[in-house]
Amino acid sequence: MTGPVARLRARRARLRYTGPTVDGVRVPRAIAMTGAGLVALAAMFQLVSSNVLAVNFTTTDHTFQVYSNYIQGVSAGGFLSQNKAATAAGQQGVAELGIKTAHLDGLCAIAHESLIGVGDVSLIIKAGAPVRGSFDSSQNTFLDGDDNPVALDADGSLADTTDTISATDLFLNSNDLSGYGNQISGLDLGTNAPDTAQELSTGAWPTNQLQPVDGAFGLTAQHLNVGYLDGASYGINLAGQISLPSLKIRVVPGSSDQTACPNSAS
Amino acid sequence: MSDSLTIMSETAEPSAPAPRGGIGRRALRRLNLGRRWFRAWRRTRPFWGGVWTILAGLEIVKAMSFSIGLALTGGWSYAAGYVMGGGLILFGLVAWFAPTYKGLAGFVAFLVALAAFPTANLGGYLLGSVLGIIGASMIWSWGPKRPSKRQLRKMSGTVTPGSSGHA
Amino acid sequence: MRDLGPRQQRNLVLIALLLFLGSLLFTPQPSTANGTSGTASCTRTSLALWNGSGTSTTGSVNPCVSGAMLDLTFPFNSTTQATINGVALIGCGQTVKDAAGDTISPAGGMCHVAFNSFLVTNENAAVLKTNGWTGAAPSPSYNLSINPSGNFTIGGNNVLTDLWVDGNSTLSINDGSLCALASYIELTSSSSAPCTTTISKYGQCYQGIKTLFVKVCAPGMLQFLGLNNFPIAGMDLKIYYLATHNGSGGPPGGSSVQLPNTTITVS
Repeated sequence: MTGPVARLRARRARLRYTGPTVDGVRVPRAIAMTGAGLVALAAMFQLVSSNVLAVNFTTTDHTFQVYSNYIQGVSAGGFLSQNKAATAAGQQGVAELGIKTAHLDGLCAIAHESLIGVGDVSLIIKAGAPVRGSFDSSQNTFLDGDDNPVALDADGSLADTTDTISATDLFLNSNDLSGYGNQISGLDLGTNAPDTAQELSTGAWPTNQLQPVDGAFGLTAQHLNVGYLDGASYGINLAGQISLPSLKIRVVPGSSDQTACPNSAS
Repeated sequence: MSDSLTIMSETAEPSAPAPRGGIGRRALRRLNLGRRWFRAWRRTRPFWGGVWTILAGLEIVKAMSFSIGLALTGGWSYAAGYVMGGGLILFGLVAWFAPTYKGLAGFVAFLVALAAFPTANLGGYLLGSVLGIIGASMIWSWGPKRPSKRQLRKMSGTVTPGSSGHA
Repeated sequence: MRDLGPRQQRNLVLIALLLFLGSLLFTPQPSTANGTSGTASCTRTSLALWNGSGTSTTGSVNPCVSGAMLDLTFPFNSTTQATINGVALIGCGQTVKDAAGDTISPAGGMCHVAFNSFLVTNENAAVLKTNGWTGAAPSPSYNLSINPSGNFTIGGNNVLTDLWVDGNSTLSINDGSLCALASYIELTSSSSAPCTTTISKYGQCYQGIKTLFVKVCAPGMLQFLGLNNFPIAGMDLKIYYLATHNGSGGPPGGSSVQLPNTTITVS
């Protein structure tokens, strides 16, 4: 038992504290490990932010608000369904929407949580361009949180998609959604819900999403462009590939609303 | 085992003379005994690390609360909250009831807390992952350490000779 | 209570590890491959599409129809609520089957109408609503409402909108001369504008004498009456299927649907 390890051990044994001891958290070690964990967490955060790591995000019981200055979707399907909540009281009819390829000019999602001992907190997830603090619903020109107009082509698609959140097979289920349907083309209404799956890249609704049932109302669209999207969502699934440029997550006390979208984008 | 030494120092406190009669007094005495037992139990294992880890697990489960049926059949997206949150709760409990394996329990809980970030709603809205990392670190780093001066004073009053210095 | 012995502690750790690893490994992994594609067991109906003139059709779609009815309504109002450049009633008594293979039989029969450049100018009251389900609806059932806050287009310029509707759907036309003509051929009881009639009533006409729709949708008739489009004063369309296309069955170029700030609610 000679060698560097044994010598190190011997040295450690010599230097070891031999007085009376109590059991407890050894603070320096705890801090070192916590620090390492937080660094790893930050690294993962960075990976998500730079489109290396995909995250899974699904909720059912409580809604959260989703805001975006503009969504450009190509090939979309939707159907009416019932969300799957833990409790019967939480069950709610929802419109399930799937978009094969989507570009979002800014994303701001706000969830409200009630934590024991802390009270109401709001979780704010933001990515891409800053989202406006309120949407002017009287006209259909779209501005982002910095008052810059969202540049659009004549067909309603985004002129520049470089700094947008891009997602393949983005799913959203919502019971209350509003926005400008700007240049929607190739719309079919009344499609049988399961058949809407042909609009998705895999040709199927993923098993981890609400499943369409025969006889449920469905719709499909070739181009779905929506400005000033404001939706109460039961779930966003980011299970597909999604880039979340300049991702920011913050937890703030109280119930935040859309006004928190642009100004806390620091 | 060094873990058991402090238990002795706690329970070896000279108990008060038995109070006489009265249901109230007896209840009080029992309460006092329970409190002391709990204190001894708490001090012989990574209790607070376990608490934070379990809370982190609960937070992650709450952030992804789906019906059990759905979690079992709906695939990973629905089950992740239960698996990750449940894992943290499980290893928090392991730290409590199998303190010998605190290193392992802390390390696994640490990994689970990290893995919860991409898999379970950003680790229960970040809060679960952060709490889990803190709790797991506390479990992992729990062990014999140099007592504070206050603890030393307390120990010198109560500890029987020879029960210290077993680090 | 005594602490667990070394062996018990070891067993506890092993059980915990096995439980955790087991739940990790035996959870069905996310997969899109075996999701519901729905294309396998669906009864499809071949539906011919209007080619933009007369009642002729070109091409067809082959949809899997849910059978759930979507109600497009705007309340009757003397001001013009929508304009349509061309209208055709292709025919009533159509057979449209739902996904399960059952023929959808609305109270007024199934009629196929088509619009050219359909623009709704109603400012506030247009609602698209569906109960969302045929057959086994979940309990409680839900309604989907689409509420545009202003003008909207279903089928823009050079876009044709084909609709398969309940014959009991109504359409009110806000033009004296059109209504007088309708009155003349006994389609409605009143010769003053606006006049309301049901789609199926036109359908009966179609089978007997020439239908008003066929007549007026010929561009010459609008010109004859000095109109650019049909001024619609009210509408209650019970839609079972709606498709937009470019006149030859292909996807329309440009925009077919344009919505203002629109609220979609499920309640």
